[in-house]
Amino acid sequence: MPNLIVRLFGTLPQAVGRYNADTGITVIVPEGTTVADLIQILGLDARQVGMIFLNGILVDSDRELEDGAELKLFQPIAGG
Amino acid sequence: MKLIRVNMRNQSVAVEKFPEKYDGLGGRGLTAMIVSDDVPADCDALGDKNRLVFAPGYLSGTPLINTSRLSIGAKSPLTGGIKESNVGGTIAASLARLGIAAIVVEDNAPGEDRYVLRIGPDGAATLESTSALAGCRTYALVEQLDQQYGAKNSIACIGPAGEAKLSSASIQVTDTDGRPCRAAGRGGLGAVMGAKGLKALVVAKGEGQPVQLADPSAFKAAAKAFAKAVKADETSGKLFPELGTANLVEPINAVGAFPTRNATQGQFAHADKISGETLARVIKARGGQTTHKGCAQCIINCSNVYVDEMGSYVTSSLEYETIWSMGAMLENADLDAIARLDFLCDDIGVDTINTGVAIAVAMDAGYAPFGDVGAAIRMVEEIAEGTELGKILGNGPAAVGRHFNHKRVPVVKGQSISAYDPRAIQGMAVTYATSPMGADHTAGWVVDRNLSVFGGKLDRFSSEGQVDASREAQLEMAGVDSLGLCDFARSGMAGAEGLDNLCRMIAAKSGNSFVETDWRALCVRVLKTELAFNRRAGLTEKDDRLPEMFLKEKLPPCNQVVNITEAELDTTFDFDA
Repeated sequence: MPNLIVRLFGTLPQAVGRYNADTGITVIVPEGTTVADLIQILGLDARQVGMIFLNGILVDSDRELEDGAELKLFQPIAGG
Repeated sequence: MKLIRVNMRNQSVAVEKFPEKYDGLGGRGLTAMIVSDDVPADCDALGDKNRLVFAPGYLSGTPLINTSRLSIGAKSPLTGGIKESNVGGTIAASLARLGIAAIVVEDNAPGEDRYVLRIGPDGAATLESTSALAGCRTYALVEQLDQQYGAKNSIACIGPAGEAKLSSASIQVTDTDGRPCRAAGRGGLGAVMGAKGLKALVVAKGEGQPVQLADPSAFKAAAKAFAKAVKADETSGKLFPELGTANLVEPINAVGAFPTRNATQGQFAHADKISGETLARVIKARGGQTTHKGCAQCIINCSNVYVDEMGSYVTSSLEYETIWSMGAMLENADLDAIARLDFLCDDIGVDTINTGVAIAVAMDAGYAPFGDVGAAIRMVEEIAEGTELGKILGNGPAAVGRHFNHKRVPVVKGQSISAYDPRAIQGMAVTYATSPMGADHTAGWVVDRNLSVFGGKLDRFSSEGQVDASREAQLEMAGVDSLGLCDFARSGMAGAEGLDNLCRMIAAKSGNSFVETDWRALCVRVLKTELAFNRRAGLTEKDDRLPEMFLKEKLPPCNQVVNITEAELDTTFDFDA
């Protein structure tokens, strides 16, 4: 089963709780789990999530998670 | 409302009825018209023909939230074109409450004379000699002015860089705590103020009365709905209060658009050490302030107060653009050093963006190694000391490039780009290249429209649709800056009712009908006036170009160059397209 590190940015850490800003959180998910599935598992609303990076590459939420990956979730941004 | 006209040569002050031809204008719209009408476009920006105009926005001083933005206008010594430099703090609200729509500063004081323009609680203006404060840095200056006039004032002032007439000189404005930490940084307007011999503008704070409204109840209903939308928005309601503008460090770095090492790379390996998340953590652990109110009537509170390990004040507010210019551009991951550099720039009175980039160009040219924080601090101190190198640095990145004969200089019209590399977000290439203000992210921020995850529909590496997006964004900002509305409160304009509410408030203030087409007409009028001034000043389409580095040097990790053609850029201001 894929074991990966999830890093959260913006105000997302508060939405998840028990988040360690230095290490992120380690999650183990069933094979075939997508980013969208994980967002749900973490208790986040999909609308709270903007950019998604898997191992530094911008991906869509239907991407399947890989073992050993680093997933970064950002909230939508605006401003300037 | 009235207009105050100050002549620095003979120290006369005249109060005039607000000219009818400017009815309905405030902020950037008003400074643009006055500069366009009164300043010969081909004049020396530091000479006696230039004028410096301070104008609160059209909605400043009303009950609407986030409207204490001041527009300062003049011909810019940095860009050679018209300039509106926009700043928060409390001064716009203070001026508007005293019934002052604009202060026009004319001519230059003789010799090395320095003056303070004092606007008292009754709105009366007097010009007072202050030559004893010549050379004073802004924090010490504000302390002295507080002693002289009392602490209940809003102040706009210059430091040594402005007095030395350096092209990156800022005008520093006091925040809600009375610190001169809000900067009208862009375009070197501090040098214009210095050339005129005006050291400070001291305005009685919280006096007078709220701006008169033709239909107060209609105004308040629309203002309430607008404020509710700003509060409900995820970014202005939660993200900016939590992390400030620095929230952008991680996402912009992640997409490879965070110019690093004088914009030779799009990602900074140590971005996590200077991110908004880290900044908030450090500030909270040390007892500083996040969620700080920097400007009058603000409900967003994006400001912060950065403190050292002992909990002592270092600077406010540490912003995304400064974290970039003094951080990634110099390969400096030391947040304390960035905060120190931010303070120094505010104290000396220089734009943190132009100054950080000037240092980055010098480092790129081999003057000092990247990452050498001590060298960066010494270089900024040299600006205040007025050494030969200090003067070059204080005149900005283009001056540094010429001095070292170094070609990689990320500026347009002499003004440095900001913290979004146009090779990784092509829409910003259009705004940087074509804005009459020179390279300026606030003139037309299209980052969200370039990233699909933010609802943007544009391919950020393609030129398709970018010109249209930049045109619309530039138009909207010309209007927003005319109202005195904070950029971050534009979230109130989103949705079906947003712009309608804004139009309702304009109508409820003036008593005249104002609808969406009037809004569009206002935005076009402001931008057209600025563009026409620049043409008269001698700027041509050739000045609406990015430097070669963006066209020829691929930016890792995306390995793109700007691919928007000159022909495409030249259609940016086809307003009827």
